[in-house]
Order: sequence, then C-alpha cells, then structure tokens
Amino acid sequence: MTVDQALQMAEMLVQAARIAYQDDASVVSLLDSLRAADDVARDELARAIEDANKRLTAAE
Amino acid sequence: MKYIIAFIFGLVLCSPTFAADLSANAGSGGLFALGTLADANNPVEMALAPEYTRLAVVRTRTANRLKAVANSKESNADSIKSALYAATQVQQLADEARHDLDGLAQRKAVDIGFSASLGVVRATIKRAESIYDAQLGSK
Repeated sequence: MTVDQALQMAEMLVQAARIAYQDDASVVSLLDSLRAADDVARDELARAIEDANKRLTAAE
Repeated sequence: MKYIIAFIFGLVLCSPTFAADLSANAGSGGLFALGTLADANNPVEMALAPEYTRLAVVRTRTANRLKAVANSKESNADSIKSALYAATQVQQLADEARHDLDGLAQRKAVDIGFSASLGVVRATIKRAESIYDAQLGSK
C-alpha cells in the first residue's frame, strides 16, 4: 500500500465514521473529523518529543 | 468520538509504516483510482481535506520514527539529538500549516486568494514531509 492509498483510505474511513455517528454532535463535518485525527497525532508527536528529550538527557 | 476516529486512522497508518517517501509521488504498479469522499458541493472541504490528512500522517510517522530512534539500543546521543531536532521542526511546520488551514476552512468560497493561501500551506506541509524523508524516513 502506498502513502497515497493510505491517505485515501483514511479519508474514506473518516467519512464512513461520520456517517455511522451522524447523531453524534461532535462529528459535524469531514474537516472536523480530520482535525480530531490531527489533534491526536499532534499530542502523540509531542509526547514522543518529550520522551526523546528524557532519553537524550539520560544518554548524555 | 475523537478517539474512535483516531483509532480508525491509526489502523490505516500502522500497516504501511515505511511504504514510500511522504514527499514522493504515488508508487508505480497496480491499478490505483484517485478520488475523494469529501463533499463535492463544498469546494473548500474538497480542497482542504487532503491537506489535513497529510498533516496527521506526517506527524504520526514522525512520532513513530522518533520513538524507534530514541528506544533503539543502537542509538547514541547524537542520533537521538538529530531525530529530535527533525521531529521538532516537523511539529512546528505542521502547527503552522494547521493554523493556516483552520483559517482557510472559515472561507465560504474558493477564489484566487484562497488558492494562493492554500499553495503556501501546501509548501509548508511539503517542507515538513521533506524533513521527515531526509532525516527520519530512511533511518
């Protein structure tokens, strides 16, 4: 699977989730769903940076 | 709901971890149909959905690689420092792009100004992807 295919599949799945959870007020648009995914990805990267900083301190 | 979406998104991302460079074109070989399920009657959504997706992908892959480098027994302080610097740059560029995308999402129509601003955002995301490819993706 290429990155482009993964991107397309991600968008399709988010759209499917949006349809499945259409009664959920927190999902009002595809862009909201994608923002939520990016928020989680951002938090994950922030944690990884924090953990790597600790590792670096320990390694030094 | 936020975490259900994130879970689905994570499932998609976990299989092709290092399938291709993020800044490269689609891989060759095999049949691949290009399309989107964004609302065709909403040109702003059509234009922005792929860019939001690229942001989440580059952040997720960067986090995965940084964790791998930081936790590897073969890594030394220099390699961790290098990966950390690249990951911090990716995060900053992605934040900048996200801020601009959120602003563009408030627009009601796709006009010349929208397209120009979107071009700037795409360039910012491309820089983040290039940093990932050059400093993290191949390691």
